[in-house]
Amino acid sequence: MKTCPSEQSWFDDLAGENAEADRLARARHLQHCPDCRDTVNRLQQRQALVQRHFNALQPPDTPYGLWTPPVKTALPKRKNRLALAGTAFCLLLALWVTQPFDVRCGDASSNNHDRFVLYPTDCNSDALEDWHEKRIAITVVEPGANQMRTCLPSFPAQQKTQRTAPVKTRGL
Amino acid sequence: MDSFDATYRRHYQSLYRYIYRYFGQSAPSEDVVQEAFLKLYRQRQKRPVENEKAWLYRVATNTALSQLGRQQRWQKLLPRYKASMPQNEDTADPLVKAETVALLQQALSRLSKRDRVLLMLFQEEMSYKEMAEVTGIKPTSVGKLLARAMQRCAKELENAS
Repeated sequence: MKTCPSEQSWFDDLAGENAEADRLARARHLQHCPDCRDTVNRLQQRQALVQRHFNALQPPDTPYGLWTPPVKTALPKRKNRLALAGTAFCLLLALWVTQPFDVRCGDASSNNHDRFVLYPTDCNSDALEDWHEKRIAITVVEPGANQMRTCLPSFPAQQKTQRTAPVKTRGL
Repeated sequence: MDSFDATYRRHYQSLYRYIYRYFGQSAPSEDVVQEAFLKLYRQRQKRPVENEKAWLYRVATNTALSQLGRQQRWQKLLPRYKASMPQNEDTADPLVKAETVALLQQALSRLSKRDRVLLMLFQEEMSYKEMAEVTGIKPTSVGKLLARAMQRCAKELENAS
C-alpha cells in the first residue's frame, strides 16, 4: 500500500517547520510519486501567488529614529490620583461630621428676611430678640445632633410687630 | 534583558514593515509602531517582558486591527467624503504596484482577522511557535490554520484577477 505524506506535511516542509531528517525522507519520496509532486507544485504556486502580492505591499521607506523615552508627567498616576482624591474626601467628611456647629450668612429673601443666619445657640436665648428686630432669620445648629432648625421664619408678622414695639418705646 | 534602545533598534524595521501591510500607508503604521513601543516601555517599568518580540507584535497587531475596524466603520458612514478625499501619497510611489496592492487588500478584506494576521506574520518569516505566541493560537494548530488561510487568500486573488 502506497503511503503518501499529507498535504499539511508538504506545506509544513515548504514553511521550513519540519525536522531536516523528515524533510529529506519526504524529498526521496517525491522523486517517485507524481501525485505528491503535483501537490507540492500546487502548494508552491499558491504560495508564490500570495507572496508576489505581498511583495508589492512594501513600505516605500522605513522611517527610523532613535528612541526617546516619554517625559514623565507632573501629574501622579491615575491610581495615585484616585487615592489622593479619596483621602481628601474622607478628611473633608470627617471634618464635617466632627464640626459642632457652623455659622453662615446668606440671602433669605424668599423668607422675607434680610439675612439668613445659622447660629450656634438656642431659640430661647436673649439674643433672639435682637435678631428678630433686625428681621434676621435664625437657624439654630444643635451641636450634638448636628441638625439645623430654623426658628424665626415661622413667626407670624403681627407677633413680630408686637414684640418689636416695646423695644421702640424703650428707645424714646 | 537588553536596553530599550537596543530592542527598539532590533525590532523597529520589521515591525513597521509588518504593520505597513495592514494599512498600506506610512503615517498610521508609524503611529501604531510607536504606540506599541511606548506600551512596551511602560510595561518594562512595571515588570520584565519575557518574549519582547512576540509581545510587540501582539500589541501592534491588536492596535492595527482595532484602528482598521474604526476606519472601516467611519468609511461606511462617509462614503462620499472618502471619495472626495485626495489620494494617499504612498500610492503615488513608483515602487508600489497599485493594482497588485489593491487586489491583495481586496482579497485580505474577505478573509477573517485570524487568517489575515497569520498570513502577515508568515510574510515576516516567523516560525509557527512565534506565530502562536503572537496570536495566542495553539502551536499545533498554526500550521493547519495557516495552510487554510493561504488557500483562501490564493483563491480570492485568483477570483479577483
